[in-house]
This record gives sequence, C-alpha cells and structure tokens, in this order.
Amino acid sequence: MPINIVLKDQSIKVNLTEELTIYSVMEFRDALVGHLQPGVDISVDLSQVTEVDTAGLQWLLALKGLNVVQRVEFCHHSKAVIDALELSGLSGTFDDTIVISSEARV
Amino acid sequence: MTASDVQKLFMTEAEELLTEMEDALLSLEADSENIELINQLFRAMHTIKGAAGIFNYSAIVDFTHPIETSIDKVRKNELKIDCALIALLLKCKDHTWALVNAAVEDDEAALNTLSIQSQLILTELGRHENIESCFPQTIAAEPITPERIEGHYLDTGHWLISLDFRADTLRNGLDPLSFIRYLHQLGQVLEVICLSHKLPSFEACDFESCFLRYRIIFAGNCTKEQIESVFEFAQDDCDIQILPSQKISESFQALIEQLNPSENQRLGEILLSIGAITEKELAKSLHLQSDNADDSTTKKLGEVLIANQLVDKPVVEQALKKQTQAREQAQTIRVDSNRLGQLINLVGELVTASAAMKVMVDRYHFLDANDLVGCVEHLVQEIRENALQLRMVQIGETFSRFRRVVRDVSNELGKQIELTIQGGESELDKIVVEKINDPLTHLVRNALDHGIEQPQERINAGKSAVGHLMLNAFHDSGHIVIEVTDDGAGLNPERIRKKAELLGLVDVNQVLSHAEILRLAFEPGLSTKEKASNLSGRGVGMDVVKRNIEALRGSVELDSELGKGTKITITLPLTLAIIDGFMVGAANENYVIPLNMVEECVELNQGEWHEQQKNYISLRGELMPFIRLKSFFNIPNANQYNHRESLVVVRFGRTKAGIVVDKLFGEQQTVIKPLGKMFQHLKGLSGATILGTGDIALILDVQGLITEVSISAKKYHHVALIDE
Amino acid sequence: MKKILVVDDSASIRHVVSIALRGAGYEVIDACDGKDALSKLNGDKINLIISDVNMPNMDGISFLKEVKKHPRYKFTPVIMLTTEAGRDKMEEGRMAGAKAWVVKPFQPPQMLDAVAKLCLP
Repeated sequence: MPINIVLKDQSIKVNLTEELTIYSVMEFRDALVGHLQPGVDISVDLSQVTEVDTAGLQWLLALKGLNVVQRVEFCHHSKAVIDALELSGLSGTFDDTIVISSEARV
Repeated sequence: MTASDVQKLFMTEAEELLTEMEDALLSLEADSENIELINQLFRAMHTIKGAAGIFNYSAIVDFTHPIETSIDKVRKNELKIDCALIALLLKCKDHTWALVNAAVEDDEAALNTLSIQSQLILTELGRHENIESCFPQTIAAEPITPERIEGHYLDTGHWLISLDFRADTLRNGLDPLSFIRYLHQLGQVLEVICLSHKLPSFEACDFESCFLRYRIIFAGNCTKEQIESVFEFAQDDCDIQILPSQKISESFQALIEQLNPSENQRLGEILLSIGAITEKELAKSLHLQSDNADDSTTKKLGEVLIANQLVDKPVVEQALKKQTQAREQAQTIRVDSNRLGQLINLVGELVTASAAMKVMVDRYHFLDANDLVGCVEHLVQEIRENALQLRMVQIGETFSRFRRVVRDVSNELGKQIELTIQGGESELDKIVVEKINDPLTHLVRNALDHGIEQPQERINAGKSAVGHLMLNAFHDSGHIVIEVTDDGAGLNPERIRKKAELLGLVDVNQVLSHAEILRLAFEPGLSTKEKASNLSGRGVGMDVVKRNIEALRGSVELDSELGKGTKITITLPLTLAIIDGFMVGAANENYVIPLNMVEECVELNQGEWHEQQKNYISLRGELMPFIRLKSFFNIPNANQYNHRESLVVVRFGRTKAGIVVDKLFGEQQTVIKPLGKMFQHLKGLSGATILGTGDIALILDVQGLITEVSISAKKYHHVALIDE
Repeated sequence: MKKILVVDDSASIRHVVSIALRGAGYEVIDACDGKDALSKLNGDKINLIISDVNMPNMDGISFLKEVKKHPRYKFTPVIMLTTEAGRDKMEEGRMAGAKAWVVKPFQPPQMLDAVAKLCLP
C-alpha cells in the first residue's frame, strides 16, 4: 500500500510512497479521512513520493487546510514534491514545512 | 550608418536573386511543373540565407529558412505549387527584400516592426503546408518591444496570463503543471500565483476534478500568439486570458502609431497586425459580437475586446484613431490655403477671359461658336462654384470656441449663462470665418458683460436666474446670416439718445424711430455702460464691429427691447471673390448689382410705377425709396442719353428699394476687384470688375445705397411734411 | 525517465517519432495498432500516448475509448495524429476525449513541442 498510516495517541504519521497523482489521491484520501479527529496531529512524510501532479497538489493543499485537526505538518519533501510546489507557486505556502530530506530520492 | 562595400554587395546580390525569384514565380503561374524555375526559387532563398548568416542578419536567416524548406518540399514533390502558394511566396520575396534593407541599414525599429510580419507570413506558410505553427523551435522570435536591445529581460515588459481551469481538466489528461513548465522554456516566469479558494474540504473533495486557477506573470521575447499557442490543447478546458502589462500596452500603442494608415482597415485587422490580439481571440470576439447582434445593444468590436479583457482600452482607442486617420486621409487632402487663393484668382481671370471671348464671338457673329462659348461659360461657372466651395468651412467650429469664452466669462462675472448653438453646419468662406471671429467675439462679450444681468437681478425682474445666449447661423439668398441673441437687459434707447445728443450726433428735437435710435449704438463713442468693464464698454466696440463687418461686404443690424434682450443680426456674403451679378447701365456707365438682391426689373413703359415725390416710387401700390443711378453718381452729360428707363427692385433684408437705370444687360459673372484704397469709402460702391470688353463696371453696394436712400428719403419726407 | 507509447501502423512514422523522442530523453514503446497497443499497457507507468487515427484492427478512436476505461491509464494525456483529410474525425475524437491533435505531415520538432506541452515534468 503506497500510503502508510501509523497512529499513536493523538498523532498520525503518514508515509506516502510512489505517486501522489490523480491515480492515487482518492485512495489516499479515503485511507486517511476516517482518522481525522479534533485534537489530532498529522505528520506526512513525503520523502518517498516519486511523482506529483495537480491532483496531488490539491491533496496536499486540502490536507493542509484541515481545521478539524490540531496540526498538519509535512516533512522530508522529495524532489518531485519540491519541483511541483515550485512550479505552481506554492513553495511559500508550504515553506514552514519544507525540510529537504538528505535521502531525497528520484 | 552607411553600409560597407561588402554589405552593398550583399544587397545587390539579394536584389538580383529576389528579382529572379519573382520572375520565376510569375512564370510558374503558367508552368507549374517547371523544375528549373523551382530550382531558381530554392537557389534564391538558399543563397540569401547563407549570405545573411555570414553577416549575422538573424532576422533574414530565420525568415528565409522555413521558406527554403518549403520550396525544398516542392522540389521533392512533397508539396504542390499552386496559385495560393505562389502568391504567398511573392509575399515572402517582398518581405525578404524589406528585411534585407532594414538589416543592411541597421534599422532596429524597422526590424522590430518587420518581425511581426515575418511571424504572420510564416504562420500562413505553415498553415499552407498543414503544419501547425511551432515557433519556439524553428524561429528565433523577434520581440515586439523596442527594449530588446538592452538585454534586460525585465525591461521587455511582461504579460499576465490568467488560467481558469475547468473541473474536467485533469480527467481529460491535461495538467496545468505541464503548461507552466513549458512556459519556463518559452521565457521567464516571474511569478506564479495559485488560487485554491475553490478547493473543497479534504473530506469532501473530489481530487480528480481541478479546482486550481493560476495567475502568471510572464516575460519573454515572444508574441501574444506564441503565448496563446502554449495552451493550444487546453482551449476547451481552460479560460485563458493573456493581458499585456503597461509597457507592452504602450508598445502596442506605439506600433499602431507607426502603422501607415491604410484604407478600409478594420479594427480587428489593425490589432491583429501588431500582435495585440491573436487570430483565435479575434474570431471568438467576432463570434460574440454576432451572437449578440439581436440585442438592441450591439456592441462594437472594440467594446467586446475590452470587455473580455483581450485588449486594453488605450490600445483600442489608438487603433480607432488610426482608423479615423486612414479614413480622413482617404477622404481629404491637405491644401495650402495660399494655393487655393491662387486657384480662385485664376478662376476669376478665367471668368473674365471667358466673358471677353463671348463678347468677341458676339461682336463678330461667329454663330458656329455660340454653342462652344455657351459650353465654356457653363464649365467656367462650374469650376468657379467648385473652387469657391473648396474654401468653405462650417461656422460651427467658430461657434464652438465660444463655449469656453462663455464659461470663463460667466465664471469671472459670477453670472449663470447658457449658450445655445444652432446652424453650426452652415458654411462660409474660410477667410470670412477668420475675419468674423473678432467682431463676433466682441458681440458675444458684450452680451455677456452688458446684456445678461446678474442672477439676482434677473430673478428680481421675473426672469430665470440663468441667462441665455444663442448663436444662430443660416443661409438666406446668397448670404449667410449670423444672429447673436441674448435675453438680457436690452439696450436703453433713452440712454443712447442722450449720449448721441451729447455727442452732437442727434438734434434734441429730432424725431427718431426706435430702429434709428438703436442704430446709433454703432456710432463711435457711444457706449452706454457707465463703467467700462475689463471686457468691453470703452465705446470703441460697436463701431469697430460694424466697420469690420462692412469691410467684409456684410452688414449688421441691431434689435433690442429694454428688459427683454437684444438680437444682433450680421449678414455676410458667402464669398468675397466672385459673385453673380446683374449688369445695368446708366448713361454710358456700367454697373453691377449683386444678382441675389435683385427682386425684379420693370421697364418704364409698363406703367406699373411712377415717382411719388422726389425719392419715393410706387410700384403696384407699394411704396419704396429709389434712386436714379445717373443722378446719384452725377454722371456728366447724363441727359444726353435718353434711354427708356427701367426700374430694378432690390431687396435687402426687409428693405426694398428701387434703382432706376437706363439699360438692363442681364446676368453676368462678376469677378470682384477691390477698389483702390483711395476709393474705399465711396458710398454706394463695393468694388469693380473688368468686363469682357475690357471696360470697367462698378459694383453697387446695395446695402449702403439703400441705407443712404432710406435716410435721405425720410429726411425729405419729413421736411416735406413739416413744410406742409 | 518518462515513458511514451507510440501507436501507428506506419513503421516509418513510428521510427521517426521514436528517434525524435528518444533524442529528447524519453523512453519509447511502440505498437502498430490499437489492439497491439492495449497489449502493451501492462500496468507500467505510461506518461503519454501518441496514437494515429487510421489503423487496421483497432483504429485510434476506439483505442482511445478503451484507454479511457482502463483504471491505470484513463487519465493519460493522448496526442492523436491525423491527416488533413481526416480532420472530420477530430470531432469524434474530441467527443471521445482526445484533446491534443497533430496533423500529418509534421516535423519532429513540432511533435516534441506538443509532447512538451502535455507531459508532466
């Protein structure tokens, strides 16, 4: 499963692998949506994302915009993610959460 | 910068090759299979391209290369040569020559303008070959902004590209990211703004639909068309707008200004030619226009373009200006007014010569020539009318200038005055228009200053607070009449009379009619305004006005009612140069009466008229003053000539008078020659003319005569009455 | 590396296009008609499909319709190739979801251009 969710107390750690594209976003959404509760912290590791398209960007944006949860954080953005954010002018939006992973693949 | 010898050589060679190319193309029209001709075409483009490459004339290289390729295809039978292609290649040949010239002269501005045409021609060529345009690869695009040379990207001006993607975009296999990435290849993407406000919440979002919109600031050495082509596949899924920045907009305006106004260019064509809109945008707009054609509010193309943000307003306005320029240029031609004056003088001479010829023909009874003479006369008449017409201008422009005067003066004086203009389209001779300006101004200022009262005063008098001033012009029997009317305080006849008595113009006991008293206002020294204002009232005004108008062979009348208002009527001849005259004889002298004032002629033996007392005549019961020309002018030995007398009834304005003459000659085109300075103030004469015989005829100043006659007639009558 | 599927019954076209694409850094798989192409869609990632319209066995539009049904490939950008004479097919193609068209004969750079506009970075 390209999306890996680890729940621990009030924190959810999400690990995405492979594509974050129109082919995977609905699946990713469905996997995560049930866990969205007030007071929950979500951390999404993007280090293994190989490809991002507009659908994927929308997913990231929508997730970031969640107000039901306590906090949403993205980390270890892979090159594919960074490139997509830059092209779409969204780097600034995700600025506080961009941490360039030393193991960035692709 | 002069071309060096080698460059000159290039130009000569290019000229030869292009001439060969043209010859070949023209021959191919009849002989399209001729390989030798096709090779000639290829050779021309190939050689020019090569040579241009050596000189680094990239514009020429970039243009000729695809053409060479196309011709090569023809050579290889991959492309058929038909009429359309030949026509297109002829265009290419012309354009290449233009490029060669511009390049050798190192004319940056010309190259910039030409580059757009290069694009357009090559697009046509590409279309002809069924190849969709692919500019980025095959042509190094020439920028449209003059700042290219500076080499500063940011100075080239930028575009705002607005992309509103529709919901199904992603599902259709398209992705905004690929287009944005492509833009990076085309030029500089300065900023990307992603609008995500339409994105639903995470839980409910259908991520397969597209909710994102983009606004991109883009700078690049490319045309609007090239930017548009980036999104060619997204036409159905995205609302695209490409908006020029101020700089680019200004450069569009500059380009439009540089265009040669060519007749019948439509707004869309003008804008397309400079790259302000693309073909697709134009097609879409025209479509929108015709879609709404049923609405009562059919929008003009310019409005549609602006409303849809395809072109901004200043650019449209500039293009419309250029259109008007073209139309005006097509319809008008500038003529030096001196030349026109010369022409009219010559026409005058022609009239005289033609008359002389007629006299000659009559004298020697060249009967055969009668028709010819009649024909020449008729033609001369036409030429005369046309020539005079050339100098006619509408009085409206003069009238309109007074709007400003009225506004400024009413502000200055604290009055409220409304100006109405009527009959502005009435035409009169340009010179008359110029000369009437000063007198008119004085009269208008008079009305504003003395005529119309202060608002409070007006209210007290039961009038509206706002005063009215009207300028009216119309034609009346060969004259133009200008009326200046105000609803102000009017002239005070009492005051005028008192002043006139003071000045000794009028005897205390003299009985004067209302009209006569008013006429006194034209006498020098008669300003009844107690305090001379800044504008008028120094008492030098009205008489100068009258003199100026009379110098134009016009006249001025005054009508006023105390408390109600004043009307000043100026009558001017339509032209100063040539008039239709009616020639009469008194004793052995010839006189000309302006034909438009002649009412009728009655011969003595008809018994319809007879003298009543000395200066009056009764014609069919109607009484009018008259003069006997030979008496009036004291022609010596007049009684030697006892002709049967005739009466010419002249009318001027409302006044009629009779002129008794000895002979009636008939209509005569009269070229007015002014009397010498010495004779300017002769009463009753307004000029002279040279007849075909070489004799001189004096032109009667009918207005002056009538006035003289009326006054003296009344005087006499008055005296006669008193005597009785 | 991006992968492109080229479908055309003309070997020379496949050849020319493949060379151009490979030269531009793409990986190319080719097929000679719709059926053959479908068989090549085995689950691997395909970034773009270039397909001719007039082909035996299964023409381009039918192929496109099949692709649109395939869960793994339904959102893949497709460039259809057509001739001037075949322009009337474009409407039908559009209805089937074909957004990008290149008209034959075309220059390789033109093809690369179209690919660049549609292929995700």
